[in-house]
Amino acid sequence: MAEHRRQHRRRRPRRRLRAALGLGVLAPVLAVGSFAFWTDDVTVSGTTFTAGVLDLQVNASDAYVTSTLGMSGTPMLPGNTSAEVLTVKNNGTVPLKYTLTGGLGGADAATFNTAAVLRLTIVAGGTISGSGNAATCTGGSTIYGPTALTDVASTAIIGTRRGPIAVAGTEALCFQISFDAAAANSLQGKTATATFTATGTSDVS
Amino acid sequence: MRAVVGRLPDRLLTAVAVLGGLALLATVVGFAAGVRPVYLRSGSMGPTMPTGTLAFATEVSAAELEVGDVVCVRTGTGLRVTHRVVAIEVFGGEAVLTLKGDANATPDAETYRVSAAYRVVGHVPFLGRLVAAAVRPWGMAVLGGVAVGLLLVLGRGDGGRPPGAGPPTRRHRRPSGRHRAVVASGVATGVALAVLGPGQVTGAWAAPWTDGVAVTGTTLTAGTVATPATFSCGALGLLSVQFTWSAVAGATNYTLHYGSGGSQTSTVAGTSATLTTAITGGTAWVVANRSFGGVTWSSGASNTRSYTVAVVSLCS
Repeated sequence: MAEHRRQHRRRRPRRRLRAALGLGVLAPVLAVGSFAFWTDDVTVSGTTFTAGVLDLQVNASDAYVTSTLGMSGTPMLPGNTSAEVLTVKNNGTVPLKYTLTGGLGGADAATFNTAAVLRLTIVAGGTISGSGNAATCTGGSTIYGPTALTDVASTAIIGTRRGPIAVAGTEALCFQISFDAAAANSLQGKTATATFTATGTSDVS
Repeated sequence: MRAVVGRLPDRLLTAVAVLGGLALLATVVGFAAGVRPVYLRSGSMGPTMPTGTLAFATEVSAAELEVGDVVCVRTGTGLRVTHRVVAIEVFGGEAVLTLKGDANATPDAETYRVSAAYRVVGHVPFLGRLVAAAVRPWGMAVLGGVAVGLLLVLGRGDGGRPPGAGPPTRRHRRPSGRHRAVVASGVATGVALAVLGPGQVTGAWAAPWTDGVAVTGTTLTAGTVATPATFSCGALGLLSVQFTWSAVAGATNYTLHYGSGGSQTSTVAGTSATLTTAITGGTAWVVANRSFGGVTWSSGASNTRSYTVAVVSLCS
């Protein structure tokens, strides 16, 4: 009887100890997974995990080569303009916003940067009027420029995330580049290449 | 029979106790060390940190950050981002970070100016999903059930007095008084964690994907005003010499250079000019001009001619 009681006494606290320790399972959940966790400033749709695909395209391409925005086949003269509509498309499975950077590269990029004579205008929803070195963007709303292109390719052009663009949605942007009507004589024959990078982000806040 | 039935829950209790002990220890040590759990909602840090990863971060000053660190920062719009540092520019006590998700082709468009940031010191893939499941209603129900079961065990010890234990004695009552204290402190701990928890929690840190599209091929070449292809001697006369040159498309007019070393100039609309002067000589060439309204561009110099104006003029 006495032995039984001793055994009994030893078992009980151990069970309690284990039970108490077992409650520790709740600690990280309470700490990490409290409801405040989900009602943060980030818009989270409950606890649904989404593994989507983010795919931004320009003119249905992941690396687009412009056709009419450049002025080299017929070199540009003071006052010339060129234009091309670039259509940004959400080809992925999640909504996206995008930013745009761009600038001049090539042999005389620095010269053009200093002269500030190549100006970019972006017109959302614009269409092209005219052709060749006299093409301009008309209609729509101007969202950028005219601002001189720099010789730094990472220069922000659309710095504030634009959108969101729904899945399969598009936005037409008419790009217009103008060569200053008073561009200096010394710029004759100079050449540079404008490169733009549209970056889509799944951050649609 | 009782022994066989009783052993399974007993081992389960041991397993839960070990798990719970470790969890409690990790939580307490983590909070004491300033570790913040960070839950990644998207896969831009994959494959190292896939969607649903629970990462752990501690705050470090800007000076301690290095390229290659994975940090959690807030964007200008207050959103949280967990990405890898690819470039750092330090200005005094602040650093401007360029971040990029491992799974992203391009760095984030936005740079982040910080004086301190949460640096990821460890991560467990998919643990975030478990936590996410735990805070759903059914997950809470399961956890609640576990908690109630454990509290019952706490209260009842081994499930009541064994048969034949005889009437209660002081020895039996004493542990029962102790267990009430344990239950009370356990509940107090739980409540404290529930209250403190939200304050300690670091929210869901988005790790947005990015996708860059290059637009190239926009070559911009400025035109030139062509140089007159030919510049020739024309008719020679008494005290006169004539020059002719080929026309340049688009030229508004031409500038004729003449005299000693071409020091004198004359603007000519057409493609020929006659010098009629006293006896003189020099070098001549022509330049084409094209006006664009705001500016006039000029070509390079044509070939040159030497001439002498006299009774018998010469030109070559």
